[in-house]
Amino acid sequence: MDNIKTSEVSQVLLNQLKQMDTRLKFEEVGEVLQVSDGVVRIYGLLNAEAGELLEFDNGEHAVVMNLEVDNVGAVLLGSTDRIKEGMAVKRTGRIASIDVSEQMLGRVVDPLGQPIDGLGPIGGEKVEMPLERKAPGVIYRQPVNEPLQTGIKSIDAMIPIGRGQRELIIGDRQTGKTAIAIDTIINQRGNYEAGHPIYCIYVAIGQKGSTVASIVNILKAHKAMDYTIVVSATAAVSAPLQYFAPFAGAAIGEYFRDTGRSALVVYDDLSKQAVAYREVSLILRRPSGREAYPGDVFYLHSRLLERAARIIDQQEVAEKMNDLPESLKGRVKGGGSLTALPLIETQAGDVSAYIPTNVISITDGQIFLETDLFNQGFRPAINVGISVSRVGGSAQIKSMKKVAGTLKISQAQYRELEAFAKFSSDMDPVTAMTIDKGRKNNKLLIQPQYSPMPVGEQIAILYCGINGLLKDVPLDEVQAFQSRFLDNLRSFHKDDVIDVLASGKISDEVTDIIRKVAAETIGH
Amino acid sequence: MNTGLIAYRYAKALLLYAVGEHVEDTVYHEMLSVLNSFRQLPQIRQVLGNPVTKTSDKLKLMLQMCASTPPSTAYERFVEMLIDNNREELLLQCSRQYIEQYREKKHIYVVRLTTATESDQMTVDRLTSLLKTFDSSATVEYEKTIDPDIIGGFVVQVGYNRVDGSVKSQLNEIARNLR
Repeated sequence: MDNIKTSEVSQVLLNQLKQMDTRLKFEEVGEVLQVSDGVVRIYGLLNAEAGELLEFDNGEHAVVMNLEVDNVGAVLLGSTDRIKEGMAVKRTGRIASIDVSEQMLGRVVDPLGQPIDGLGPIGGEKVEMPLERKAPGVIYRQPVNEPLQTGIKSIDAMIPIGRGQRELIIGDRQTGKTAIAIDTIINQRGNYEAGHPIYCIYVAIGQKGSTVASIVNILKAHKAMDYTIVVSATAAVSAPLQYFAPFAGAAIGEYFRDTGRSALVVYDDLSKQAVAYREVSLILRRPSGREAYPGDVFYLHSRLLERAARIIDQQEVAEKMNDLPESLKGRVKGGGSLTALPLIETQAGDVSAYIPTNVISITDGQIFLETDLFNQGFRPAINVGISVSRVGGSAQIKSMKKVAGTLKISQAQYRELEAFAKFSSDMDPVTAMTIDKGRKNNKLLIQPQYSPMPVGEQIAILYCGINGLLKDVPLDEVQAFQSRFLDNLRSFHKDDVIDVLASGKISDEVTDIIRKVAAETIGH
Repeated sequence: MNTGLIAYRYAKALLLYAVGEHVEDTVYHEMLSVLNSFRQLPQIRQVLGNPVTKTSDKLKLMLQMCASTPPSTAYERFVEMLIDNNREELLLQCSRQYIEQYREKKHIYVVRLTTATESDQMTVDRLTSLLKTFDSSATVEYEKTIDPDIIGGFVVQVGYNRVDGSVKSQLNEIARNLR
């Protein structure tokens, strides 16, 4: 027997029937002129608005993109072969939206919010969130002041990310862009267990279905799906859906952001979204510009990334946020945040291409990954020299700032000295020491995939590297030293070192213990 | 590409010419049959847009699409002009635009009435009188369709506005509300 839902009590159904508006209404209709590759041209619909949702007689939907003198161009949200020329289309007066519910966590959905993981329908109270929505205005924001720990030493120490920030991850294919994003999601497990979760949304755009499946499996294996939603628009789905996928991710993220919680959205990757948008625009016969992208491809990414924000703490101000959807009114809470990690794939390291330069200029910093570093074994292959975080510094915890504040500069000095050292064999002791420390710090920053490190441990080990405590450790034993040192700390000094550092405090007592444990570890 | 604007201008020019020659009614019926041909055979648009098809063949096809034999001079000149300006693929849009502009000028309202069974004359008369209250000089053209799928009730479309009073759509609405 089918399960009886609580909403199926006769009285509830009766009330529902009584409230139904069955009065006849005038509908504005048009006629399909042409259907091709996910795009329809519709004659009529003279009052249709840009971005409006249209409904065909068979229940399929489309979104208005082009408004012309006697016809409108719309992108189909379903299959092209279900639409025929001559079919009637009506306006709905609504804009395209996605139903978000708490039970979406742990699920894989398409850009329209429909589950595609075979685990049945998504339940829970649904909140209708528009795909396209204006970003919060300046009044409703506050500066980035809380860190978002990625668990990756080189990022948390030198390119810190704050909640509400947009940090670009850019690099060639196979340099570990997705790995950084996935590690960041896995690292949020601690927050989830501590009861203040950062909800994660991973948006896969134009990827292979098998890649998405393996990512979901990795997230499941690391228990990260408990607080993660995967939005998937694989390469097999139509270009309009690939174009809408990041907006669906942003809409889900906004639901958490506007209800006072923290969320992280990963757009993997925006280059493919730009390609999908180019395809849609060319089919709609919009004028093309550089690299055949339409003129508004910058606006496409800027309006998407601008939706990442940290909302003001003052409840009375947050409640009046601009462009709040009806479904969210009365539920808004201040202090939420939406952090965005957009990914961009470059071709042969060319960051001066159209889309990379656009997204670099939109975001609050970038993490630059290089093939050469990757092949030399420095993984994550982050080029810290040209990677920056423009706003994250103020969100970094004090202990990390104090310990790792000079790491970026000292590593830059090391690289410069090392370049000169290649030309001469003998060097003065100070230079030799700087080079030795730099090499060891480089080794320390190497981190295996799917093993994010808690921030307290990161600070402790970086303290050793930065303060020259590794000078007696041979270069090829740095990794072994690190694991032994951290084991010692975890076993004997979790409360008085790791937890203290993680809370942002650092004192002479703590540093003395670190020095003592480091000396003991080397001694063994 | 702004095909709508271009077609609008061509259609406007044709209407002005046809009115001057007192053949606007003939051209209207010709355009209706052109539109009907496009509806029955959508491939015609591909043939007209195909650069490989000879212009002489395109002209022959465009002349055959209009029901009247021989076609009126106005129509003949119009299709020749389209071919000269390499705009033959806009014939569909031009025919739609002409029909629309003509109807606007002559206060003609096209009412598409869909019912599950044959509609009676009384219903038609009531609809006509209703339209006359909005525009006393209105001429009403009916396009009646019988569609048992709508179960009962009616669907009326006047221009771009539609009232769906069919039993089918009301049941669908109830199902959607209960979901």
